[in-house]
Amino acid sequence: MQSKKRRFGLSGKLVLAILAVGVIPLVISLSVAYYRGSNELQTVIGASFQALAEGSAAKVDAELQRIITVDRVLAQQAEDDPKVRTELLGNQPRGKNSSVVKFDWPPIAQIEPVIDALEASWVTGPEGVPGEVKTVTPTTDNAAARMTWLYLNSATRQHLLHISTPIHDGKGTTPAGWLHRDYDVKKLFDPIIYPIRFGSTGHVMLINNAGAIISCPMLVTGSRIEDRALLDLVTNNHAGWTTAENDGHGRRAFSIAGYAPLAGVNALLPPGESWHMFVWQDSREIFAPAKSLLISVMLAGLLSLGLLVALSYYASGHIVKPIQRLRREASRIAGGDLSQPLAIHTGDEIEELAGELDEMRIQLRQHIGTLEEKVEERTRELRENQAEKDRVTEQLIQAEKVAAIGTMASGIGHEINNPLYVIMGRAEAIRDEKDISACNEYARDIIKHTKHISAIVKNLSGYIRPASQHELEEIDVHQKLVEALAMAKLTLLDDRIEIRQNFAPVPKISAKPEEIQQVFFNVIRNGIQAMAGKKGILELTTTLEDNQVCIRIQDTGTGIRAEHLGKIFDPFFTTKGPDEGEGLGMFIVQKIVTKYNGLITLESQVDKGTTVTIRFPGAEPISRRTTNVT
Amino acid sequence: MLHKILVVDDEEEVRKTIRLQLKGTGLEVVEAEDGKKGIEVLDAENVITVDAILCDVRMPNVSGVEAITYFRREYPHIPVIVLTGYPDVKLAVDFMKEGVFEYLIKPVEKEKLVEVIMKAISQRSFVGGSGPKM
Repeated sequence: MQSKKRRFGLSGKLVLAILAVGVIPLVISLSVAYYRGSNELQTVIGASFQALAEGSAAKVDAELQRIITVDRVLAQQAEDDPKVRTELLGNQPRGKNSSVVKFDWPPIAQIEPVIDALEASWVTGPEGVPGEVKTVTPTTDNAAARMTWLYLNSATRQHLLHISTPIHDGKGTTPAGWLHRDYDVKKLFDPIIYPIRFGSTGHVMLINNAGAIISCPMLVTGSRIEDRALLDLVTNNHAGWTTAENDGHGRRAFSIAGYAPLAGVNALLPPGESWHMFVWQDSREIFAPAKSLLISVMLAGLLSLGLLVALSYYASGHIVKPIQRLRREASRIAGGDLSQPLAIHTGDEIEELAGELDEMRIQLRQHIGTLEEKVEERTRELRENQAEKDRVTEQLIQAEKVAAIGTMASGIGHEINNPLYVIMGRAEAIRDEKDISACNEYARDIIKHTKHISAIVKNLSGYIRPASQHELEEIDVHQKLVEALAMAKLTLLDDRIEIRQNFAPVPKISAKPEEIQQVFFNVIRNGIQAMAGKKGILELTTTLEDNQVCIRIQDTGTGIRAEHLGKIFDPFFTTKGPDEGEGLGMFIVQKIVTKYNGLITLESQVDKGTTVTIRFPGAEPISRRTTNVT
Repeated sequence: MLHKILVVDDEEEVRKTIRLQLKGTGLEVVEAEDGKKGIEVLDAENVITVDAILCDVRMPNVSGVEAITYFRREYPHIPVIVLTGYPDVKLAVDFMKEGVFEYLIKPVEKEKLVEVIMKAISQRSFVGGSGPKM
C-alpha cells in the first residue's frame, strides 16, 4: 500500500537536519574567525607599518639634523673667514648691492667628504639668493636655518634640496649673510630610504604634503601622488596607519599604509609645507597571509563539513536501520505472516515500538484465528444450506415430475390399454381359432404390441427416474424433443394438433437427459394444453445462434394474459384447472435451464399463441465446464 | 338376428381386434376411422340401420367426445358404448350423463364386449324403437 511516493528518506532528513544544525554555527564561527583574524592581521600590519614609518622618519630627521648641524658649523666658520668677511660682512654699509654678492664657499676641497650629496655651496649677502635659484627667500627675522624645497637643476636633471643657514657677524640678530647649500636629494635620502625593504614589495617613501615623491625605491623623485583622499589620510601631523582603496602606486586596491610626519624637518619648512614618511606594501602581498588564513579557514570548514556529513550518515544509519527493519517487519505482518515475533533490540523507543507492534501481531493472530474459525464454520453452514437447497430443488423437480405423471395418467392408460386390448383380442382369437397360420399371425401381433407397451413403459420410467442418479451426458436435443412430445400428447383426449418440426443441425448439449426431457415436456405440454379441444399447430424449431443451441416451442393456443406473464416462472402459479397441474412446471423449467447456464424467454399474445425460446450453450468437453451442477 | 355395430376407432389394430371379438356372434361390424367418418356413415343417404355404436374417445379430426355428443343428439335411439383406453372416472361420468350406455375401458374381454353390446341392443327398443332417422 505505498500510495505516496517517498521523496526523502528518513536517513536523508536526518543528515540534512544534522548538517543544518552543524553547518550554520560552523559557517558563522569560521566567518567570525576569519573576520577577526583578518582584522587583527590588519591591525598588526598597520601597527608595524606605522612603527616602520616612525622609525624611517626619525632616521631622515636625524640625517637632516646632522646636515643642518654641519651647515651651522660651517656658517660659524664663514663668519670667521676673512674672504667672507671682506666680501660680505666687510662691505659696509650693507646695502642693496650686497645682495648680489655671491661666491662659492667654502672652497671645494674643504667640503667634508662625508656629505657626498652636496652639490653646491655658496654664500650670499643678507638679502638673499641669486635669482636663478627658485627658492623662498629666507626671512631675516629668524636666525635658524631655512630649508627650502626642492628644485630641479635643469642642467643636471637633479632634484636638489636647498638649505640656507644664516651667517651672523655678531652685530645684532639680523644675519649678515647666508650660507647656501644644495644637496642632491637622491644621494641624501636614498641610502636611508632604499634599504628599508620588507617582503618583496614592502618599502618606505618620503613625500611631502603636496604628494610629491621625495624618495621612493619604486617611484621617480619628483612624481606625484594624485589621490587627494589618500594624501589626506597619510599626511597627518601624527603617526598612524590607515586602510585605503588606493595603494599610492597607481593601483586601485585595498591597501594598508603606515605613515609618520618628519617632525624635525617640518619645523624648518615654510608654513603649509610638511614632509611625511609613507610605508607601503603591495596589497596582494599584505593580504597573502589573510588569503592563506581564508584558505585555511575554508579548508578547515570543508574538512569539518565532510566530517559532519560522514558522521551524520553514520549516525542516521544507526537511527534509521532499526526503523527500516521495523518497517520490513511491519510489511511482513501486513503481508499476513504473523508467525515470527519481532526481535529488534535497540534499547530505545524503537525497541518499545517494536514491542507494541509485536503485541499487535499477537492480538491480530488471535483475532484472525477466531475469524478463520468463524469463516470456516459459516462456510460449512452455507455449504450445508446449499446442499440442503440443492436437495430440496432436486426433490421439487422430482415431485413436479411425479405430479405431471398424474396429469398424464389417463393418457398413459390410453396408450397402454390400446395395445393391451389388441393383445387380449389376439389371445382370445388364438384360443378360439383352429387355423394355425391365423394363430401365428395373432401371436406376432401380440409380440408387436407387447414391445410397444414395453417401449412406453421404458420411456415413462426413464422420465420419472430421479435425475440425480445420473451424470451429465451429451444430449441430442432433437431426440429429447420428440420423446417429450410423445409424452405430452398423452395428456390429450383428441389428436388434432398439427406438429411441425424444423430441426437444424445443432451441437449436443451437456446435461442430465431426464432434466432436459422434463423441460421440453413441461413446455410442450403447456402448448398442447393451450390448444386443447381445438385445432392448432405446435411448432418445434431448433437453430444455432451465436454458438448457442436455440430451441423454440411455438403454439397457436389461447396465449397468456399480460398480467400473468410476470408470474409464469413463479412456483405454484397456474391458470389451469385443478387436475391439470400444480403450477410448478415453468418454475422447474427455469430452474433447470438456469442450472445449465441457459436462458429461457417467453412471448405471448392472447388467442394467438405463445412462443417459448430456450437457449443452451453448446456442449464443451465436460472437464472444462465450470458450471456447478449438483 | 343380424345386428349392425358401428365401430369408430382410429387404430386399425383396435378395429381388427373388435372384428375378431365379434366374429361369429351375429354382430356385423361397420367401421369408421374417426369421429368425422362415423358421423358421415350415419348421416349418409341410404344409411344402413345401425343397432349400436362402439366409439373410441381420442381420435384425430373429430374426437370421440364431439362425435358421441353428436350421436346422442342426432340419433338418441342408437345406444352408444364408449370403448377407450382412458381409465378416467370424470370422463366416464360425463359420458354417462350424455346417455352413453356403457363406458368400457380397454382391454375388455370378448364375452364382456358381446354381452354389453347385446344388452345395449336389447334395451334399444325400450328407449326409442328402431329404424333409421328420417
